[in-house]
Amino acid sequence: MKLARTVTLAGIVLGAGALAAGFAPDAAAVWYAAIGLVALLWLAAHWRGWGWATSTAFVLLVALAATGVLLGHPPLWMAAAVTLGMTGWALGGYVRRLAALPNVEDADGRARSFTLRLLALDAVALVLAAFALRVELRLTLALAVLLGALFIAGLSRVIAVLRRASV
Amino acid sequence: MRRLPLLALLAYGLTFGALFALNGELLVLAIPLVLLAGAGLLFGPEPLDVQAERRLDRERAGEGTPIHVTLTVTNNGGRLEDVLVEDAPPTGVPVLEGHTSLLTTLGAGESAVLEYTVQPGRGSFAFGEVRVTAEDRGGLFRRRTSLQPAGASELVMLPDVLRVRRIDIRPRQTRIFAGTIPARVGGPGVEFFGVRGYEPADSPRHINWRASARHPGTLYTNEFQQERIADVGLILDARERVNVERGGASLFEYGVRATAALAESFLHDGNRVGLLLYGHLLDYTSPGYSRLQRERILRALARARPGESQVFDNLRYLPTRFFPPKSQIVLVSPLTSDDPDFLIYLRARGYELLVISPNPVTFEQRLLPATPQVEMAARLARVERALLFRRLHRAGVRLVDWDVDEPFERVVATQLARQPAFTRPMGYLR
Repeated sequence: MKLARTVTLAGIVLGAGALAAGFAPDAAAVWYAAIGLVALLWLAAHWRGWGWATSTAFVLLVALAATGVLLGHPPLWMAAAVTLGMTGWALGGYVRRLAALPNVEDADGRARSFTLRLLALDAVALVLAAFALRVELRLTLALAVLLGALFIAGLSRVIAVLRRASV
Repeated sequence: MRRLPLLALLAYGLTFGALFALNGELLVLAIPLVLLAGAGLLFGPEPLDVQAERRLDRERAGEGTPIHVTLTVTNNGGRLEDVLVEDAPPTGVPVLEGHTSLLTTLGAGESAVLEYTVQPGRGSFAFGEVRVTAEDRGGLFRRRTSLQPAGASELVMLPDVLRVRRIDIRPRQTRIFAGTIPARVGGPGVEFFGVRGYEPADSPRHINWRASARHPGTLYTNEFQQERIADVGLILDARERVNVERGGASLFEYGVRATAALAESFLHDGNRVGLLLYGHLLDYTSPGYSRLQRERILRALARARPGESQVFDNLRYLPTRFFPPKSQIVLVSPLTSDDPDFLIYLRARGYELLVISPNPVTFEQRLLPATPQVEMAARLARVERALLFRRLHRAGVRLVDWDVDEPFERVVATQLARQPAFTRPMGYLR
């Protein structure tokens, strides 16, 4: 599981690094401090095995990335931060789960295959993000209505899932 | 919070933010999140269709025997990339070797085998349901089921049975079948019983020539005591208030082993033996003979646990109708100061009463630090116990004060294998 642990740490550090790089050109120090705090919280949570804290740190990272986009910073850096952070979050969770179980068949192989799958997913996500940033679509009324309907239908599904999860 | 709702909330938050702020670049941030959810959906588990079978190398064994458990789970559905199989061994039973859970991959039609060894103490143990959880590696989609496996689900660990010497009992009433207990009736036997006038059917070998010589013209014959089997009612006192438990050691366990040894001995001699566990409830094993009865009694003893009940707090609610009149009752109990009244009452009803009393004072004293206070308390408790014993002794109750550090076999050999010197009526004062 050495590879998985390394990639998890790299995902956290590089995700925070990509975020900082995205904010780099003309950002106030408070953003760097916030990014640093999130990275520290995440690393500490990863070290201590606090699942809830890693999820919190991931949410904060996505929120910072979204803020960065809204403030006009380069969206590709922000997408990279979210992608790498997501890798750290998903892989960290899996490694913790494997470590917590007393009897796992081929734990190293499982962790390795999931790492490779996530890295492939990262590559696809970054390519898609780069492609999406180059494409410009005219939002017609019909397309807007379609997207809105999809959004509402999806939201109702999310609420249903959340209700089931809370029972 | 579960991972899927968190991921969905983030993705929808970004989408909503993008729509609200009219900023399409925000949507880009949702791409990796949606891809991760899609991968989870792609590699996630299908509906579970599994079956399980559990095998024990023994379903009945002596306490402390290692039991090997084999659980086989077969997947009849689609491929399960990460499936966690968790068996539920009985609570409090230590696992000696192996694991009770396994994370593995199960293709369609494949089986996973889980093996472990448990070492339960005395008791009757039920295995729980097997839990099967399939999940994608991102922890987003999960399917879980619990199933009752085919095969064994219960394990009985019988108490250790000590082999003891024949216990000498003399109930006032015996049954009609030949056995080993002197029946207080003349007839064929071994032990001399008396002399009576010769009758034509008597064997000439039993003529008492000395007595006949003193009375010319009359022949006398020796008569022997008939030996028969008897009804023996074993009572194990399972009241929590008489039990002493400290540091994992329990006086009750000694009582259980002693009762098992007594049952074995009495049944071996051909007697009709019943058992009553008197504690939280009345657990009664009706009297019987032979190896089947031995098994019934041992299983009842395996289940025995000390318990509290307001009704059965005192021995006076002990149902005497379970035991035939004038039969032998053997009570295994540490005894309390409330108990003698009822035991004297039993004697008055004609029961022959033998009390095996594991000594709680010496047992507890050994588990406590040797301080002057403990020594003083032990002395007082010993005096109280001696008075209680004297009272019962005077009522004709046969008593054995058993220091549990002494092996029960030795106690039986020294105190129970002989005919007691006294058979006094109730109320006789020395």
